[in-house]
Amino acid sequence: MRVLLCIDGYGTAELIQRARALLDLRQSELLLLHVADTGPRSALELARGAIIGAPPLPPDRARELTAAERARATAVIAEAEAQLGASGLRGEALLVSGVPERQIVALAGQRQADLVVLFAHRFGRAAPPGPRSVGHTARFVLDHAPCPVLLLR
Amino acid sequence: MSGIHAAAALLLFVATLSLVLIRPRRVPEGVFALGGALGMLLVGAVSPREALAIILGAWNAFLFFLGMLVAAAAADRAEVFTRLAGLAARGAGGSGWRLLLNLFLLGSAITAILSNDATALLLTPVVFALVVRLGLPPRPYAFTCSFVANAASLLLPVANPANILVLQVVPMTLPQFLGRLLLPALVALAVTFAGLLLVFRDDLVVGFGAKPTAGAADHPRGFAVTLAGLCLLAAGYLAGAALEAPLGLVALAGATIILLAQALVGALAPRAIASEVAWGIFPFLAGMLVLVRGIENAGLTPLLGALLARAVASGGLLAPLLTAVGAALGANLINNLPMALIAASTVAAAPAAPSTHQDLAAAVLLGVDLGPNLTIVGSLSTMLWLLLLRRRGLDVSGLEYLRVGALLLPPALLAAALTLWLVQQL
Repeated sequence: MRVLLCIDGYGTAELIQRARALLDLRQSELLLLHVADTGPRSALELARGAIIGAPPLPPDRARELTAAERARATAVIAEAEAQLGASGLRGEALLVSGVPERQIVALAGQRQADLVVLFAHRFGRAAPPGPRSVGHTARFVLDHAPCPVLLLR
Repeated sequence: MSGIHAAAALLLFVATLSLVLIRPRRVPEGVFALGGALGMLLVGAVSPREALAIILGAWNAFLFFLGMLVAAAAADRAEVFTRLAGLAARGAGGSGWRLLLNLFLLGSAITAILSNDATALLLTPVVFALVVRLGLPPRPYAFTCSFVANAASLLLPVANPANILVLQVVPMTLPQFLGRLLLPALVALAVTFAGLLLVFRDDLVVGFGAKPTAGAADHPRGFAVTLAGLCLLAAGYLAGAALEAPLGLVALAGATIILLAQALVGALAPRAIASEVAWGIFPFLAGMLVLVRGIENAGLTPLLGALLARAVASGGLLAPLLTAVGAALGANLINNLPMALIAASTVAAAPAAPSTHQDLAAAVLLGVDLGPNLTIVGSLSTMLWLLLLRRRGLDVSGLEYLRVGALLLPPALLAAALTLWLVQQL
């Protein structure tokens, strides 16, 4: 079984641990996916463009931003690989960038995942039952994933 | 002016603003504004002599923008914003919401002295990089910079270019300005901060462990002299406003002192500074001044002014509320700078006493300063465009600004307008 675990850099260890408690992952191939969200950066550029005469972001500032984002994504992947190694399970960590919910659905299709596992909210935050108990990303993945979804809450 | 001339002037105005909003082929806004102004001359809505007189008459605003933009860019190149944001992070003790508070206060201070554009254009990217390095979700902090830039624009006359444009038409001394707007400004800030905490409450639970470094500046002395220059500039603004000296001269003197000080310690980077200045505002403003005079001559703003005077005569909350909300909506439909010019012209045309003009101008400032928080990415038309794009499945993170803005702006604007009205009753 190929299991896609969606990580956001907060609570990777907990996600693996909770998935393990529910599923027998010894025979599975794990894909730990981190989507570096491009949304905040493009929102930043959009807001900039709204100011009359605004010059483009100076090259050094743009480089700083990209370097910070890259360092963060690399750290998340490094942690995922470390957790995977410590768990003794088989699999790999994947990094893509884009809109998280769309990339998760796309990758689940491309890699023919049998199951997608993710937290109901960002940062693995627990929410009381009710209409807001499923966050935006999880909601989209539930609606669009081409395979079963295990929602952790 | 004949009916045909008036209609032509109005048509030109609407067409120019539409082009400014759409910006086909990313042509700079100033090109359209100057083109529209030329059209006003050609249809005879404004005489060339009158156009020249308006532009030369706005020398104080032009000098102010020049000084303010250069000082802000020089501060950015001396890593003033990077260092101060680093200090804000160190003072937060690893807590997300305390970092938000510190950045909100820092953004307010930068806006008050260097205007909202400095916060929106120069502080935001610095803060973005900082929080990503700290492993925090960037949205709450980047959004805070965008929103505080507008929310803090009422603190001082120099905190927003729109203030300068309105005060040029309806002058106020510093005590008259602060007496009317300080309390509403603080109320708007408090409501906006509370709104940000509410909207981002889930993201703010994430703290940060790594001790943030303040970021070593290439030129520690450049940083020190620039910070000193900015303090001097702030003092100069207060003294200049108190003595009723033209703020344009103060801003230009402040910027010159900062540049000279940077040159003295060998930290001056003129090209880098010039590349960070929003030069496009100068032709845009020159064109807009002529365009607004065109519709003024066509009788549009005097008509609005007469309507406004009737609202004033009816007394109560109606006039300030109508003015503030109208200016806010206008600032979102078109840009807030042209809206400031139109609203100021309307207020000046309203038959009323000078102190009533000042009261109305204060309400206009609430609208044009706070209003852009509804649609940070520019205008309602941009938002509609983004909505269309989303239906095609494209990345439209800008829409999130509308969600947050729609939640934050109405209570902040209404609370500020109510406070302004209460202050005026005293």
